[in-house]
Amino acid sequence: MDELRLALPRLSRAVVIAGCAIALFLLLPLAVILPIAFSGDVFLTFPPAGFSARWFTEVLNDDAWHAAMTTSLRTAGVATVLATLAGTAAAFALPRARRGARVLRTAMIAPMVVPQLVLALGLYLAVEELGGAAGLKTLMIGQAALATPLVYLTVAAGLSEVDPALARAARSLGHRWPSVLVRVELPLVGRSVVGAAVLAFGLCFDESVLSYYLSPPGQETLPTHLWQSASQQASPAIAAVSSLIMGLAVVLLGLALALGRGTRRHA
Amino acid sequence: MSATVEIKELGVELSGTRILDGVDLTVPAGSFVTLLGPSGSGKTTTLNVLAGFVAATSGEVLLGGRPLGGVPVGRRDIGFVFQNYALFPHLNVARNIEFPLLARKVGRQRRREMVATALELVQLPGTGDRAVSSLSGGQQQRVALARALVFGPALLLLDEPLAALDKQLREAMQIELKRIQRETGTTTVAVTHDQVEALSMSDLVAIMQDGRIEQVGTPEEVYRRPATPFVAGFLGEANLLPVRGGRCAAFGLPVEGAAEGVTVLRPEDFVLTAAVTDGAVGGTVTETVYQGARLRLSVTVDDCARPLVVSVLPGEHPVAPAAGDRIGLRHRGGGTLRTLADPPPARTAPAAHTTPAAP
Repeated sequence: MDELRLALPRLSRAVVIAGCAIALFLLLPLAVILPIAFSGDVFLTFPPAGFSARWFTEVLNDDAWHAAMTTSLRTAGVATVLATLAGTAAAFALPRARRGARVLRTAMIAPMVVPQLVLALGLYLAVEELGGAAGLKTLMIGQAALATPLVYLTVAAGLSEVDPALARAARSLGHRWPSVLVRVELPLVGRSVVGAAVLAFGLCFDESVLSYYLSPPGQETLPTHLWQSASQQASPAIAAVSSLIMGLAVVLLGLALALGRGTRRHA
Repeated sequence: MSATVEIKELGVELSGTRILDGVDLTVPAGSFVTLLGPSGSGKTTTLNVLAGFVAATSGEVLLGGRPLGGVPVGRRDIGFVFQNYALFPHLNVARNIEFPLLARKVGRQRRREMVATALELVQLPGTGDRAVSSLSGGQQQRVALARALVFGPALLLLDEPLAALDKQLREAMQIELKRIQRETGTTTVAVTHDQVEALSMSDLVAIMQDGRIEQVGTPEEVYRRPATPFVAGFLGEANLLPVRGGRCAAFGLPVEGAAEGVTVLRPEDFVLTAAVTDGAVGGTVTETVYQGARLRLSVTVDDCARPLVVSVLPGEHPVAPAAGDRIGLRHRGGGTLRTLADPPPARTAPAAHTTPAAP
């Protein structure tokens, strides 16, 4: 017992050091990308030469980048709405399922573990088979499928913190199902739902595998366009776009965290 | 307004297990009835059937003569107070209380009046715009009561209403609950496992065991004249003494009812004497426990297999009885002893139990 207590601080210190090392390693690429984005050079080199915001100005004023950004915002927006509806509905429905709840739950989470390549190809072939042409709509559906498990898990977690007696109380006080949902259950998990939607948007916005396969030529999403320009020329514009995406991700993550904390205080 | 509740032959089976086994109970209009019993006795299930959260497998429940079977939870005209109150954390006190009124399409002005009246009733006037989380446990309990009563239900159901409160508050709330119930005249059914709570709040107590009601009576009836050994043992402390030939063992007191069986003597039914005088039984004190208001003694009596529990007032004797003392024990008299009924035979007893064993 004493030995264990003595060994623990040393062990935990080692764990902390290892954790910091891993975090540093993960952050290293960002530490490289950010300075390059502010480079004054015309080439993608590190360390960057000079300091300027010219690449940000360039990217934000370039029509192709602009179009890609708009496409990404649109597809991610639609996918987020779809995923939020589906995931929230599933989170409410599954605990009530009399039979097959386990199977359904596994099915809900499946898109998370199925390789995205398989999902992309499957969607492409399925749409072709059905006589349509894979396009932005297919991409929206695919991204929605990817984000649904995330929404489902987040909302289900929020819902599990809501006392089931509250819904019973609402019913006993004379309210029927839609009213119980609108007046009690949704307000109580509202923060979880919005938080889940924010995360879903972040996931869809910089999703690249489905985009690469499904976005039609001339309607590239931001990640696809980024990939294409990276393969053509190595300009710091790529770093600038990457930094912008990163900034958005940080904002979204912060938003989701803030919402999550609010939920817990509420419960 | 308040209505009579009739529970007839109520049976509930959940995934093959018999939870309720023929519950019969009539709750007179305007009365306060408590279902009392150990956990698993079926009291909460009975309450949930009344509320509509659990469906009956057999039998029926009538509220004011109207069968409740198939009536959805929210259409039963019943107010339910949950054990943990189940107040809506995202709504303030007034919005919690007006919640049932919204389902009943009561106008805004009328709602405000009714909420104010309900808050007066539970003695929390002016707290309408406070957050539920800022209230103490006792105040939350009152808000839950106000919410369950604001729409004037025909029946009020209380699920372990005081279990979440600490002891002192619990005693104050017992009186308070009873006052509110009397003031509104609402028929009330409460569930508790706390015998003191049941005895002090109720007009009638129904003691449940194994999915059946063992006895229904006024608090005094069930305590002083328990019908079965279970009821005797569940309410307070009981000395169960064998009855032979119509007389109680050791003391030789006459017992009404069956000539053979057991009867109950309460710890406070005894008088302690220094010597074994006429009509007293000799015994030895084996243990004394000081409990403040009373002194609890264990006394081994010559003719009894098990030691008797005897309670005396601490100042009653000039020299407090101590372990090892040789004393006399006499029945205080007053009231009649009755032979307790055997527990009623289980309706679902397997056939094997009734077959006599082979010689």
